[in-house]
Amino acid sequence: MTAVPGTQQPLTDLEDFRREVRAFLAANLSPALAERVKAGFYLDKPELDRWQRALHARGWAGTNWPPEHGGPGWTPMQKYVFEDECAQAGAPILIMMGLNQVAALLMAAGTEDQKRRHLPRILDGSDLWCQGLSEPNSGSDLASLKCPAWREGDEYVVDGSKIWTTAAHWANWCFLLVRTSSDGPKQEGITILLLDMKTPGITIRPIIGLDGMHSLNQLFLDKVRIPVSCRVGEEGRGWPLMKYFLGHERISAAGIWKCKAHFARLTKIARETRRDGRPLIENPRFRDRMAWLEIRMRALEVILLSIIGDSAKAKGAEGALLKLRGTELQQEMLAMMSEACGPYAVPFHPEVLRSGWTGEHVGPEFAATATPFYLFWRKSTISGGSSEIMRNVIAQNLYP
Amino acid sequence: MTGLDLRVELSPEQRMLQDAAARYLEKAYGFQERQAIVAAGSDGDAGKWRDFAQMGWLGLPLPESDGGNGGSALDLFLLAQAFGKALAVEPYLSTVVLGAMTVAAAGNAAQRARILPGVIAGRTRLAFGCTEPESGYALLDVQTRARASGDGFVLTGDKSVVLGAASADHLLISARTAGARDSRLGISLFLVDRTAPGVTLRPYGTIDGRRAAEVKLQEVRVGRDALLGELHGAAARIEHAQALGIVTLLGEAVGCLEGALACTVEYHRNRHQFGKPLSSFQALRHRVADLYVAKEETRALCLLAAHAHAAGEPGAAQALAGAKAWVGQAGRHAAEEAVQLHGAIAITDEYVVGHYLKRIIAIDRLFGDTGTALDRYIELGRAADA
Ligand SMILES: Cc1cc2nc3c(=O)[nH]c(=O)nc-3n(C[C@H](O)[C@H](O)[C@H](O)COP(=O)(O)OP(=O)(O)OC[C@H]3O[C@@H](n4cnc5c(N)ncnc54)[C@H](O)[C@@H]3O)c2cc1C
Repeated sequence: MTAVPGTQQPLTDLEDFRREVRAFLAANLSPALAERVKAGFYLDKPELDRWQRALHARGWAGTNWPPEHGGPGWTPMQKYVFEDECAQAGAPILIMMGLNQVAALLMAAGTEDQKRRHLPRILDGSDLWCQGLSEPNSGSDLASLKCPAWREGDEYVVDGSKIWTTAAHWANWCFLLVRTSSDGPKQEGITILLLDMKTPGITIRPIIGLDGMHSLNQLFLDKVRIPVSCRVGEEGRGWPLMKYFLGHERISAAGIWKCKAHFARLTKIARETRRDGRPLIENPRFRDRMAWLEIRMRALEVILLSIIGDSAKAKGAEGALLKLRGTELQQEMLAMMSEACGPYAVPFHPEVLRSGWTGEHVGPEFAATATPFYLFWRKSTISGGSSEIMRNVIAQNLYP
Repeated sequence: MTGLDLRVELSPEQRMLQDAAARYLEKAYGFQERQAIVAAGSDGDAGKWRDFAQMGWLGLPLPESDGGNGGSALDLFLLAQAFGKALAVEPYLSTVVLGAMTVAAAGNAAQRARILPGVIAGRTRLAFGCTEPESGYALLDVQTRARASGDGFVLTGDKSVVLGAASADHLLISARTAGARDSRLGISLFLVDRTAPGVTLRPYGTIDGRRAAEVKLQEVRVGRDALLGELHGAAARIEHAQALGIVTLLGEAVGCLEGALACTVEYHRNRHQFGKPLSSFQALRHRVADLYVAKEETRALCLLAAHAHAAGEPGAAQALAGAKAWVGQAGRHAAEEAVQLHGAIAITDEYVVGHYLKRIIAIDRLFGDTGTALDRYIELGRAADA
């Protein structure tokens, strides 16, 4: 019997699992919602919350979580199958910062009290978390962050700014990196704080993206007081902890499953769109580019499967490679969807992207989202470790 | 591209035009001001449009006999280049290049006298409705129909992505008066009042901060004097308008890449990460160097095409197609690089570089994208060899 790579688990079990996931998706995901997700429409918070509740009810909300904290305890291959099926089906893409990064960090380094307070509410979707890491002058060089915080009695006082904070306007908690000391190397003196977004002194400035939508924010923290009990790890020792959990996002950011879902959609669009008197998919130039994308995607999937479950490799050159190429492939697919719109790539009405819009769109249905989607997702080679930083990681592995 | 004159030199007057345009736009059309104009949503700024009239730009390419400046396609290209760098959103392409130039070329004396002085003075705006929901990039694929009726015509059909339609006084509408859906013969052009009974617009903004609309014509009655040029014979007029439109877009594309390069160089000089300016990282310096190379190649190809078109050289159409294909591919790649090299700030509406990418994408999707232009380039090359 063939086994799942790196395990004794037989493949047939995995196929059973895949069927189970499919049955869940069929029962819980409405086709209309799936269609909107695949087309890149924005979902509003209640829609995302509903989906998380459905996952939670099935015990599948924290895909990475161990059973003792209420996770399903899946093998890496099961997680992979789950993500793959969700993407193909058009399941809503949750804001994962709480479920993935914050939860991993709390499980590893949080106090018992912090775990008890936060983990269940992350899992069931009661709390949405944002990440206050980047600052106006600290992006790729995150360790240079300056946001000052000092201790006054049982509290830290934070007085600075954070930027590019995704979903801060929805979040009720923020995972915050601050500087509590400027002595010594920049990696020292960084402290991790958990910030309740209801705390006085927080101002959120919306930042509108190239797609005309609001997901990014700048946070201004004006003498915001955070109890010392909301510190994770020791004061000034936040950076090593961060390093531990930052690499985790790479493989998911690579999103091979996202590539596959985009490719399926691109194929459908290329079949249905006529250009110069024939379906686009029969245009040799377009067809060749699609074939290359499919071939390159296959290479990535093989590499991903070969390192799955190997967290050292996931954080090393292989993980960096997957992030680098996976995001590039996604971007090219989105570019081709925009191309398929022809002149209908030019109209731009962001109101269409919002939930609840019921007007009539202009041009073919996919054109309403294709170009804004393409534009905004230029971000995938920037956020979560830019392509340049990924190349640095690879080079550092080659020249240790 | 045999037989093209590859030595393109600008005249002193052309250099003056470049300088004047650059000076005015740098002063009056900063990015913040541009964003405010876009936000106002009224298809460009009325004050700027008046300035354009005063500078003589609204009549720049129009014949002197119609009150214009008699400028060449190359002059037009140079002005567009400045517009591109400033990301100006006024409906110059639709009113002057596609609209007024077609009226000047195809219109009779009465039509020219009725329309052109108003355009030149900045009072009258035009839009060019020649794409249809199903035509893609094939402007001679016309399903809108015009049937003769009494002393005039009755028009029915749909026009798509008509730039500047909602702010236009008159629409130039292509309609089939004879022949099959895609036949060259049997297309006619009509001047239709935007407010005529039976004309309905669905206006919207565009990705590059302009305005356009879907135009529906339902039994729209026009007089005989609305026919622009020969009955059944508008195909060549439409193609000529398209060629001049492409010249303009190529100028803008060059301006966009100049702008994208300039802001990247500037940003990398000032932005520090890891204790050093980004401009000190060799990996990034090389990418910016490539951006410069792409900008120069684009400028060379586009300038050559505009020059060849202005000179009426036989290879001009192929040169235009080649440059258009290049802009859609290498131009897009360069603009994407400029975005990447900025980081997160480039993904926002608040900063300029993403808007260059948006304009480059829109330019690619007007009058034939890379693939369509490349097909045409190859086809014209074959025809020239035969
Ligand atoms: C859509 C989006 C969502 C985001 N969400 C969040 C969030 O929720 N929370 C949060 O904290 N942050 C978030 N970020 C910020 C993200 O983490 C940063 O964009 C990223 O760290 C890069 O930093 P920067 O944008 O400041 O670019 P910079 O670091 O200024 O880099 C600019 C350019 O220089 C390159 N570069 C930098 N250093 C080097 C080097 N040493 N060698 C070679 N090239 C280099 C970069 O790759 C990039 O091309 C988000 C960003 C985006 C675009």
